[in-house]
Amino acid sequence: MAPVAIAGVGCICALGASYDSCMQALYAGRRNFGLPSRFPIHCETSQPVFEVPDRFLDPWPFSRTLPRTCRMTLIATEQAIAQAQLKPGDLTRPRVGVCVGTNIGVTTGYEIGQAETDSFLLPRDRFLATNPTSLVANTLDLSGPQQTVANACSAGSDAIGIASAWITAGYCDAVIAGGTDELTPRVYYGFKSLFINDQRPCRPFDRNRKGLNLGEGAAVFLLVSETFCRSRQIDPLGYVMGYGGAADAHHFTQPRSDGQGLRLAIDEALTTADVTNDQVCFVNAHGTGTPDNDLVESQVIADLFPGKPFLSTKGYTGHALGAAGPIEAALTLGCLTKGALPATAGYETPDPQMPAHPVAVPTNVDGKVAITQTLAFGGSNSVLVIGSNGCLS
Amino acid sequence: MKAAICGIGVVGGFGNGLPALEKALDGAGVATTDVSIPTREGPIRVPCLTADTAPLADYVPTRVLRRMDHYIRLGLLAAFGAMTDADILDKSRRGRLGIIVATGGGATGNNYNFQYPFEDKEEICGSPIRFSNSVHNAAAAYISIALEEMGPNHSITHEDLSFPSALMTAVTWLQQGRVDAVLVGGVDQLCHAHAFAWQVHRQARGAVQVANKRERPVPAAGEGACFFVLKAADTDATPYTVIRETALGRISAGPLPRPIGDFYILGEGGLAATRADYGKWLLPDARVACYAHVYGDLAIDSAFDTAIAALSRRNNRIYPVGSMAHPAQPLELPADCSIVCLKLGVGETYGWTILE
Repeated sequence: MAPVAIAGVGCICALGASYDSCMQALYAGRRNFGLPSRFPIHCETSQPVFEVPDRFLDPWPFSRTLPRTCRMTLIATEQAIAQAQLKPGDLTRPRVGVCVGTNIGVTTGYEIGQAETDSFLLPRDRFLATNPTSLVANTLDLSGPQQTVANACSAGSDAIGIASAWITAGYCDAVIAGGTDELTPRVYYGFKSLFINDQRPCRPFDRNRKGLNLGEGAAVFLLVSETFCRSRQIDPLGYVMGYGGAADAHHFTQPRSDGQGLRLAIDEALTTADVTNDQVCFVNAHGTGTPDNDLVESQVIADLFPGKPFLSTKGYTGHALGAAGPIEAALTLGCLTKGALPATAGYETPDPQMPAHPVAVPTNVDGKVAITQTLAFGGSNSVLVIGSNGCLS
Repeated sequence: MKAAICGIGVVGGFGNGLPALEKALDGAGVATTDVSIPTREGPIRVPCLTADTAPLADYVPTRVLRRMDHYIRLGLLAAFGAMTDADILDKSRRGRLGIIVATGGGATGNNYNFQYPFEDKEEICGSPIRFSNSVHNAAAAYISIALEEMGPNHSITHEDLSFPSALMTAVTWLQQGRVDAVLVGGVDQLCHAHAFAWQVHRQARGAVQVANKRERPVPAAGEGACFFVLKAADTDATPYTVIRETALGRISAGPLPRPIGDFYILGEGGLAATRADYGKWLLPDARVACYAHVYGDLAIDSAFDTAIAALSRRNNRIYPVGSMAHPAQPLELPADCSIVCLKLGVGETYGWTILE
């Protein structure tokens, strides 16, 4: 596939209220976790989460009656448009699509008043008020295609991959693409029921890792065609160079132990990007901190990218589900641009079972291309190849 | 790029498989079931077209089915139907297969059921199986597991436009050469939340229909699944028909985009569309049909409409349209005619597919 230009990025998560503040907090090593503050905990034990503080959302003029998932998407979208030095109205006339990956964004309609069937909103109003894709398109009056991707935790990465295809296929001049998810009681107790949460701040790839911490947030990329980029004199932040996806076809909640699905996804992503493994300067792993996930990723990275640095940023953001892929793609782009990786937060003790270990201290990297990978419920694996601003030269 | 429809699998209130669908289209009755929905004022009864997934036992051992709920089973049954119809159930005949599942409501039944216990504070930790099955890609994941298929796997939940969006993505994947074939379809399950929403919606839509003096009754709430196997049109003989064009968008500034075809099948299910809404999209003499009386009111109705259009193209006939006066009888369809499946969604969105 032809590289697709990234004109702007918006990001809001536990790390920060904007893309810049997220990158600053990442390099400062900040970990903003705590117990859930927005709903009561009816359990004896509780796990830390990485919430987005209300003060990150409150300055924005989006109604507080909107679900948090939608507010965060709108905020990240406005940030991405502003970073491209465009105004929202600039996107009305060209054919601009919206592709958002989410889990809660496709269920919030039912979480609103779902316990009282009688108080149901009219269905069309419920959808319009709770679907982040639709809200962005309606708010900006966009005419292009819309798609809400529901591929569990890889939804946001897949949304960016699909959006890139819309541009290369000529369906759109630009696409607002990304992922969003908020922390809700259903998610919190759902993951608790699976016994894959760590009672402490998560420890990706660490010998003593016990599981993940949930997070929330949104990240949005404004992807544009070459023509759009030229006509608006946009200097891209970077490029989506390639995208790959594959299924494990193995188990709904456990990754395939041989990592074959992930290998296929990496292979497709590198092939579409026309990039060799050697050209990849680092890997941003999914690295949730669960025993199975991290072991599989370590094996695959050791086989396909021997000696290359890799990290997990989940220790800074928590696992933001459908937003995880785009948040990590944004952080990957930021690290690529700066040429430096932060330490993998939470990682201290190497696991002797693992053939490769993440960066434990801040590490410089030299290269123009990196990959970010996402593994999901249902055995869905997604990989994005991200190129820096200078990757085409 | 054109895509060939090489296999179709369906399950719905009309039964399982294309013969059952054709029989229903030809006028055999489709029986509704009254489903009881609890509300604060007591239970209400909602007429529904419910689907039976018992034939799935022909494909999947019972012990494997135990963790799969109705939503997953619906998708799996139609997926197996399409794969069998396309003669690619045998893995060696497939090439690289992508799987795309569209769903308007997703695993809402599970979602709803999982959340209830801790809302009521009766059960702090719900069932892990119920939680994992409440994730909207559950059907797509179990299809990949059952077919042992490791190609790209994608789920879309965009209410009324879920299936047109899935179809556009499927055609794009073929165009990119990402896969050799795509198993693409839609699945929606009836649950209390949906049935209640239908009740609310029906009342709202009923008023519109009366105001427009439409005689066609609102179809019963429906559930079911409809899958297709698509390949690039130049790679195989085409047992059904060819998809010439897919389009997706939102009405904004500028002229209304109009799909051009000889016959139109309108999606009358889901949240948004009333027959009145479709008026501005069509020329006054356009020949139109609606078939929701056969499969029910559900968000992925355009998947069923596409299947019916494919049957119409293969058999060179337009099926009668039940209680709607036009057309009351089957029509001959000339071989070179095109059929447009048009679907309007909420928020001024639209999607269409043109088959030729």
